[in-house]
Amino acid sequence: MSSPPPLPETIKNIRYPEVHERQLANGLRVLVVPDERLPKISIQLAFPAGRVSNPDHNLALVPMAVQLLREGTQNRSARQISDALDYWAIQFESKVAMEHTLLAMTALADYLEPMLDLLSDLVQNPAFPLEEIDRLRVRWRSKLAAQRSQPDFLANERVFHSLYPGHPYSKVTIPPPHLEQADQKSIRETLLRYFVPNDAYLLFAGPLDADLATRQAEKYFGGWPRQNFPALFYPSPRPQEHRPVCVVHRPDSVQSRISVAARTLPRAHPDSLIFSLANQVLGGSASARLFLNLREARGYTYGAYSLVKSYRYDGIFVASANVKMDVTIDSIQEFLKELERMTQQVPAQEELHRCQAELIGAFLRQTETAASVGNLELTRRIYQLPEDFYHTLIPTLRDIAAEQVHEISQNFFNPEKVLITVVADREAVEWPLSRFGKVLVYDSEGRKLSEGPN
Amino acid sequence: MTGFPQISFREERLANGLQVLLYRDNRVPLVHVGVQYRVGSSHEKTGFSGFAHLFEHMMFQGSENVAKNEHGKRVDSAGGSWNATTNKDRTNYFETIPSYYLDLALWLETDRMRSLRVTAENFENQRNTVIEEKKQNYDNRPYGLAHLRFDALAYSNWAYGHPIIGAVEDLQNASWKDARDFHQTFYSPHRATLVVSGDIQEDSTLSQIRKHFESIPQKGSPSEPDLSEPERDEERFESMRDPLAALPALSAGFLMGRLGSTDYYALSLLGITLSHGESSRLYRRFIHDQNLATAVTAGPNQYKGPELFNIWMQLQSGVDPQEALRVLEAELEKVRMELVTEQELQKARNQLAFHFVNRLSTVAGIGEWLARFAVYYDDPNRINTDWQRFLSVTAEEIRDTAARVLQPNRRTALVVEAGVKSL
Repeated sequence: MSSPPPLPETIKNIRYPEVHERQLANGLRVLVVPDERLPKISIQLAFPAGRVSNPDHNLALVPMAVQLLREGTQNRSARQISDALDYWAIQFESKVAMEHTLLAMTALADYLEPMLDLLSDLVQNPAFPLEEIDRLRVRWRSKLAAQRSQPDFLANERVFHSLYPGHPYSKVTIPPPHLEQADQKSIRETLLRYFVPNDAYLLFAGPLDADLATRQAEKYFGGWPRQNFPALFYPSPRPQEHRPVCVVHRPDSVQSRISVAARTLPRAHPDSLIFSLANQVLGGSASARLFLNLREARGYTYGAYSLVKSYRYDGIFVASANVKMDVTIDSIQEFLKELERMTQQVPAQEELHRCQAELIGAFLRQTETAASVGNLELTRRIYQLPEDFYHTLIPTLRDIAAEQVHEISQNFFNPEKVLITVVADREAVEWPLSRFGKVLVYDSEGRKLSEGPN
Repeated sequence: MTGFPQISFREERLANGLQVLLYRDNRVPLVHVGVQYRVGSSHEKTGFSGFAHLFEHMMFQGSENVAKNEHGKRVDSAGGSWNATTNKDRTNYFETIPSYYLDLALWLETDRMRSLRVTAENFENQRNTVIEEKKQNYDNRPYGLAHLRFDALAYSNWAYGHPIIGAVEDLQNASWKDARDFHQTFYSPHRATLVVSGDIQEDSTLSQIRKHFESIPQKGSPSEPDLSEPERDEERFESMRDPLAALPALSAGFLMGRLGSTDYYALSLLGITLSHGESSRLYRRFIHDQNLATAVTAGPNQYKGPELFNIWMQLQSGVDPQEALRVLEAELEKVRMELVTEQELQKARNQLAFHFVNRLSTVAGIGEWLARFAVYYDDPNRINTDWQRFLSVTAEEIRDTAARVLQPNRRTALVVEAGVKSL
């Protein structure tokens, strides 16, 4: 027999990497995370406008405007842009999230200038050529259709629709008519209105110092004119009152995709870390309660987890698993039992310490590269987290008490209120699901097919 | 390119044959510990498909001093991340953990290399889990069954032809006693590479490793699987309907030399030329210009033995896969007959150089790559030299290799017809 080595206590804190911030005359804020270790530089432009940030309620406009940046500028055709990106091995990613947009380029440090030259041209001189708009429409029609064959997409769409009825947060994808209606003029106006320097951040991560980065930023982005950034209006999400049960009918499914979800807290809420810790206890890892119950004790699924997704004005948790069809009901009962347990018992110290260590470790890994530190910094600014958020994250997490986790669980893990969603063949699950409440059945296009028994 | 990073590592071999690779980087208090065993699905016997992967699950079910699921729980409690993967050639277990917990990670890996606690109940539970994993990742996913089918169609030799996840009936027939034997046969220290990379001091870390691992005895010496493929000169073609797919798809493959052969370097660059980025040939033709496809990839499949040069396309709605195959053949004819341009070659070189540098961003990335070169090439120092092989490939080599390998009569093609039912 051998005993495990004694564990030293979790670290008290780390020296968080140095981050420099400067501002150009047009308001663009320049962030620099120096890292001399590798000949690789990442630059990112971040805007506080995303998928739901547009008053015309055309959900295609922001994603199309962003995608079309690489399809032609006043100086370069789409072909020249892709030639340049690929030739210099510039990894270009654009991501339109719910409330923010990122344009990220990474390349070998030798190619910093071609990278900046290209990025500045893309955002300052977009051409939105008509033929490229048409091409994009054709491609996205298929993409929008294909995503409806994926159980994860269908579950996600139903969860957001049901938790945020009528609210911008319910919009997880582009309705096909929006794609058809978006024209060159409205796409151009969307870009000009929301993608402006004075509310944006330009991040450099890699082997360069703040002075050099600022000079480069000035050279390539200094002439970008300042514009008024419109105030974004979001109605308050309506409170969630009852527990709906939704089925998304996916014929020929060989598993049930179960999601159990509820509304929680906005990103910058002072208690959001406490809730993250509670979620970690419930289903944040393969050592958490959901996984140990549904997979390790029962063998119902390959994995069961719970995630927190949070935004400026609200947040949700979603616990999910793909399970054997014939244990759909049993699995949901286990999910609900685990929620109930969260609300009834204070977690044990040992379990809490593990979950604190998991979150601290995840944070530590995020500080490993300059680019991932840059992501943390952009997130903090876009979601208006406190300035010392990352500097105090480890001690704050360590100080959360089991009673606080229990209290917040009572607020958000109420099994009587959570939304239950199942993506499966309706024949197999609809009737037995009625024991949990009124069953609403949708097709894979999101149309309501019927209201079931109860 | 200026300043290509060199990875200065240390290699040791313990008395029991365990290969040890150490890499020091003290910037962040993190350490990556990985153990790669030279066993994958190609080592399975017929009737036991999926066993190597099912066994990987058993490695988390407890060993002499570690209870079921305690491995993960202890790493989690230390703030680490952990996982394991099985492929055709090897099985990889790893954790990245704050460096002051290194001793814990080494102790955990030692315990399951030395002894495994297999019970009928745990085995049954993991069998069910793996069957659900197969459903989640293949049976319930568009194109999942096509991905499983393709290797079986392309490879004549069962060793690479059968899927890693296995057949349900084989998984059902396996017994917990087989797992015990598998550990005895394949999980010997002399078949493993241990890599420790990150915030370490080499000498003291090596002493820790010796303390933990050196007393584990060597176990079985199984023979290596025969991976050879017969020569063939006829096309293989199959068509299937996928009830979960909304769009048709096409997979085409050509058997080629093994990883690290001249075929591998030349065809890796060709794969970039054909499908990497929007300037690539297949992207331009199939997606941008003719709207025949919505996604395309091409390149070697990264198996150790005879590889496949694989081309995968998700086609546009209503596109006839036969027409797509004809257009593909026209593109392949060009690369068989003509040289890629200097611009295309330089682009592929830049892409590979970036890929190399990018892999070195984290201690986990460096650790996994060192172990990969050790296990696949028996030469961890290729982490410092392999990129030169890629960068020295010429346009003539690409053309000549394409002309030899990508012949129509050596092609395997699988067509997937979209079968989503209308409601």
